[in-house]
Amino acid sequence: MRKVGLAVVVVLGLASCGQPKFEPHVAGAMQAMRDGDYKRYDASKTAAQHEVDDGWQPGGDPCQLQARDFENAGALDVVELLDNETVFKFSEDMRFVYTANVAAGTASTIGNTFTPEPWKPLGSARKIVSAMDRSSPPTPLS
Amino acid sequence: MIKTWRDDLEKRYGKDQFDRRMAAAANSLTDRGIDASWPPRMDMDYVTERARKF
Repeated sequence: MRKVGLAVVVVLGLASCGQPKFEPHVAGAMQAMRDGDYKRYDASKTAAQHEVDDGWQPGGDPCQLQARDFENAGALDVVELLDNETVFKFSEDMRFVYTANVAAGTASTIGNTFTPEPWKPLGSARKIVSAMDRSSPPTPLS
Repeated sequence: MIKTWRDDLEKRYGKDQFDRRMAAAANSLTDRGIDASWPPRMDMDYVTERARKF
């Protein structure tokens, strides 16, 4: 039942977004990849990690979980996919093909360009979904 | 973002050259032990599994 509830919340959250927006840290990380600048990428990754650390944590009150927490976790997952310092030294063509291969299928990067199969949560986002599965239902108000 | 990047490269190289160059870049990545193809695979089972291995 909780799974169904969570799925409804996620679907409604995504539906309310309208045109998918580009998460700033994902955009920063991709621009850094395009420019072949690993230091700038690393700064984007650190910022994305801070957003996740400052948000809802597994074990916390499920009522405090916000759509933004899913967005932040998903953004961090996408940013982490690009974490390969060697690739930043390759030619632009290779960097582009690498980025398209590792990140093009993930929800945060696709915009409305592609319509892949439904999103599946990766590392950070999966932790939130797993924690929600394990958490006890909120205590009803008396 | 990726779409803009792709469009810029395609404009720079022209459509025919673009695909040829990207295929060559995918081969170069593969030669270096990095799993890549052109065009990229978009099925989510593959993308998710690849991301988890990463």
